[in-house]
Parts: sequence; structure tokens; C-alpha cells
Amino acid sequence: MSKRSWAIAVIVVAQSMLLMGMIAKKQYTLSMGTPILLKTQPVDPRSLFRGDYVRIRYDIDQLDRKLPGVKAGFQKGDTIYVVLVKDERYWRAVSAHPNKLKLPQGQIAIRGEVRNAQSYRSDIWVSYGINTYFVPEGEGRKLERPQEGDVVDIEVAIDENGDAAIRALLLNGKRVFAETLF
Amino acid sequence: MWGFYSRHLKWLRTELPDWVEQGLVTADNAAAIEKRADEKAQSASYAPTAFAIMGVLMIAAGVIMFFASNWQGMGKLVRLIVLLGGMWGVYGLAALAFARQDKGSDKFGHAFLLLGVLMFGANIALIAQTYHISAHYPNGTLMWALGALTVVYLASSQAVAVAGVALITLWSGQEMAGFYHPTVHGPFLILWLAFAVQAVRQTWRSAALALAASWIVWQLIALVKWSNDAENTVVVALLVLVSVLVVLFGIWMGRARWGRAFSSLTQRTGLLSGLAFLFINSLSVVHHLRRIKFVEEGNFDFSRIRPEYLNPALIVASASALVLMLAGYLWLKSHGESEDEKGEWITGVRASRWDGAVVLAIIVVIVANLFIPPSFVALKSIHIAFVVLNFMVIAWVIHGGYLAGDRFWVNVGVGAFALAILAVYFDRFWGLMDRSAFFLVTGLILLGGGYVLERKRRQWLGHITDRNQGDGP
Repeated sequence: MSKRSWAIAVIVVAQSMLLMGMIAKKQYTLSMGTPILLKTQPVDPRSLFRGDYVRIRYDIDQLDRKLPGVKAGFQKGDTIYVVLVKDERYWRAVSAHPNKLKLPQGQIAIRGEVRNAQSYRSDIWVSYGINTYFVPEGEGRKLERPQEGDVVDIEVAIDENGDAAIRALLLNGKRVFAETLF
Repeated sequence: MWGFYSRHLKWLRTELPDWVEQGLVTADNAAAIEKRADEKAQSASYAPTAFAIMGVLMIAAGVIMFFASNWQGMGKLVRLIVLLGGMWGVYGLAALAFARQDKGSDKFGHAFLLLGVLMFGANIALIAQTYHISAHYPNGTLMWALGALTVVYLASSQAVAVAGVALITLWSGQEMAGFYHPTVHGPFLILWLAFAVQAVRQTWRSAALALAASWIVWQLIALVKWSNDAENTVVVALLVLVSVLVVLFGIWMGRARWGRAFSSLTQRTGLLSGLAFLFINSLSVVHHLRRIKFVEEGNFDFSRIRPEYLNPALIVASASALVLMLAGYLWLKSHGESEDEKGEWITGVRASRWDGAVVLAIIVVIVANLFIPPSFVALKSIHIAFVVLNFMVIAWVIHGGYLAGDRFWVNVGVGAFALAILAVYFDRFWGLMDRSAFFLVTGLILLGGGYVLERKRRQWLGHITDRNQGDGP
């Protein structure tokens, strides 16, 4: 085998490992993470679908500046750890921090990125990388225009680093899509 | 270029037998000359490379479209097999093409490498879609660029280098436009340098051009992203300094064996960006925005209208660039290998002797701009100072280019001069003259000034041609 063939073999291995790494990281979060249920905000049915993916907005995307820690001066692009606690059914934000911290039992931190923190606003916007979910073509129609009273919930797994991944989509408490490796 | 070399080869083939017959060259020499010209014609043939790349891309587009139409019906495992298998197959074809060890196959090898990198990028997007990975999307572009960089270093592919440079520029643009808030996006520079090192090592001309374009585009994005109204002129002035440093670095490259091939390109990149940023700072609107922030208080963001408001990073960066520029200038002036080099300012030729005055003027105006008091008169004066500096630098560029016999510098200088005249005219008379008179006078200036300038430019270039012919053998 020539030197160049070896070089190409190394390239193939390196690039394939990077691609597999993407899947592995996601699977790690899904299998090792703590499952929680997040409440989604009502979305205009016309904008719920764009192409073949669901755009999801969570209650925890929008953090009031009165929430402990949020006033600390987060700026657009900053990493943020939002501490969540469970209410009756859903998990809600109770504080925000610029760094990861040790939490007591019953609390969990989700890592996000500040997307909007303009000073005149009374809240900041955070993205956790779980705002989109691709669905098979046509199958998402039932989610596209939810009937009045329908509730769309998202089951999310959060690992010890705060990384989150969508485990399942629930319509009126019933799983309509669940994440699998293959 | 290819046409030139093949015509040259054809001509040589008719001439060489006569030369041998007349005893001008030996038969061996003639064979060597023909072989060299043949190699040159082969290496200059861009058409087969372009066709190879286009052909491979068309096939790839067809295959991708076929899978895209059946994508939804595939399970995750099948998708993964298709994505990874396709990429492995393309790289396998590249390895096969290179294994044939002839020039034609090499071109296909490089085309397949480029396709492999494109498929790697598509795979990132499709795997992200399949597994619902949507966090911080510029990371996908970064990952793609890193994949390209691996190919650039391990398989020495110039086509991939050009694509990789475009990718890092896109990545940095995504970061600065959507995410990055403090100052500029520094990590871009690390990757840019990584590509630049390989381009210089391999003397890749196209990659070097891509790097030059990427550098200028990145600075423009950084300018838009970094500056706010109060800091505009300071950021632009800093970019002028950075451009001067690039020109100085280009001169130094010309003296070092490793960088000689790209010395001229580096100097020209610095020249173009430097003149562009000086032009921006000679516009009254840039200074007017600062005046609004400084003087007409109470607009909307009170914290930003105070004169002491300047990002400390800007002051440190400007001061460092000034010191570096002065040190670089003095070092180049005193460390030339020959007397000619000590005075040289444009590749290889002793050029303008008033470069010291230009450097001093740049320092004075930029320092004054940094510490300017917030008064109307001071802000007006600094605007005029930048206009004067712009004309001074343009005159130096034309004069230096003329003395050095560099047509590019003369042409760029003349173009910059025409733009500067128009800018001053629009700045001065837009609000003062009646609209019809304004456009009438503008038309006359364009007609008359353009004629005079073009005549002068041709005259200078004619002198350069005469001088170069006179210097020839």
C-alpha cells in the first residue's frame, strides 16, 4: 500500500470516528441521562412544522430576570446551567448559573446557550439543543395541527454534564415517537 | 494559460530542428527543452481537472438525489450504511486513482478527495437530522472544516484546501453573526493559519488566493460584528494597522526563501484591505455616528456616549499593532541583505523613499483617533486627518508602484484615488448644492477626471513597460 493510500485510510477512519462520535454522544445522553418531562408552550399550528421537523418551544426556554441567578449578567452566546425541579408532572426552572454545580437530590441541571439577553427585556432566551425534532414525512400531520385541548409533551434525558436529548414525543400523554439507536 | 503553453510547445516543435541544424543547441538540449515545455503544458492544463471535478460532482448529485427521494423510507441502520458506505467508497476510489500513478489519474484522485470531503459534510448534516442533534449549529461547519484540514495535511489536496478555507470563513461568519459576542472570533485565525502553512509549504496558488479572499471577508465580518457606533473609527483604524502589518510581513516573506512565492500576494492582500479600510475611515458618516454618540447626548444608550467608553481590548490591540508596525518597519529598513533591500518597499525593487513619512502619519492620526476628546471640532478634525492620510497613502502607493514597476500597485492606487475623490465630493457637496447642479458637476468630474486619470495611468504603465524592456537581456 502506498503512502497516499495509508493517508486516505487514516482520513476515512478519522472522519468516520467523528461521525460515530456524534451518535455516541447522543446515545450516551439518552441511555445514561435522567428522564424528565418538559412542558411545551402553545405554538401557532401554522409554524409548528417547517419542512419535516417539529419546532418545539419549552417553558424553560424563557427565563425571567427575577429568577435567582439570571440577573448575574448573562450575554448572548454564554453557556448557562439551569437548575430544574419537578412539580407534579413537569420539571421547571428554579435558578440559573454560569457554571456547573453540585445539586441536592431532586434537582437536575440542564446546559444551554443564551440566545437573547437584550438589556431592555424582562427575560432571557435560552436554547438547549432540543428545539427541533425530525419526524417521518407525513406522520407528523397529527402534531401539525393539534386539536383544541391537545397537549404535546416532550420527554428529555439529561446526563451528568447537563447535555439534553429528546427521548420521546407525547400527545395527550401517549408516546407518538420514541428515540432508538437504529 | 493552458492555451499559451500548448501554443508555445507547438512553436518550439517547429523551431527546435532548425536550432539544432544551425548549431544553436545540441540535440540533447533540444530534447530537454521540448520535454520541459511538454511538462509545463501538461501541468498548466486546468481543463481536465475541472472536467474531472465537475463529472464527479454530477455523479454525486445524481446518487444523492436518488437516496434523498427514498430517504424517509429507510431505517436508521440503512441510512448509516448508505452514508458511511458512500463516503468510504468515494475515498476508496481516490486511493485507486492515486495508485495508478499517472497525472491523469491523479486529477481524478483529487476530484474524489474533494467529493469525499463534501460527502463528509453531507453526512454531518444527515446524521444530525437522523439523530435530532441541533445544538450550536456552527459546530457542524467546524467539524466539516476539520475533516477538510485532515485531508489537506494527509493527502495534500489543493482543491480540498480551497473548500476548507471557504468552510472556516463560513464557520466564523456563523459564530460572529449568531453567537459570538465579545470582540472578534479568534479561533478562526488558528485554523486559517493551519491552512496557510500547508498552502505555503506546497506553494498552492489557488489555495493562497482563497486564503487572501477569506482574510479580507473575515475582517469585514469582524468589523460589522465588533464595532458599535462609538468605536467604528477605532476598529477601522486598527484594521488599517493590521493591513500595514500584512504588507510588512509580505515584504519579509520576500526575503525569506520559504515565503518568496507568496510575498507579492501577501503584500497585495494587505494593500487592498488597507486601502479599503482607510477609505471607510475617510467617510464622514463613520465619524458622524461617533459624534452622535459623543456629543448629542441622550439618544438611547447612555453608557455608550461617554468619551471614556472604549473597549479596553481595542486600546491594547491598537497600541500593540502600532508598536509592531513601527518595529517591523525599522527592522526591515535596517536588516536588508543588500542596500537595495534596505530601501525596498515593493517586491524586489527599491521603491518610494518617503515611506517613513507615511508610517509617521499613520501613527499620528491613529493615536489621535484613539484619544480624541469628545468635541465637535476634534471629531471634525480627525475626519479631515483621515481624508488627508488616505490621499497621502494613495499617492505613496502609486509612486511606489511606479518606481517598483508593479502595475498592480499603480492600478489599485489610481482606482483608490478616483474613489477617494468621489467620496470627498459626495461628502462635501451633497447637502450644499442644488440637486441638479450636484449631478451635473458630478457628471463633468466623472467625464473629465476619468479621462485625465486614465491618461495618466496609461502613461505610468507605459513607462513601466519601457523600463522593464530596457532592463531585459
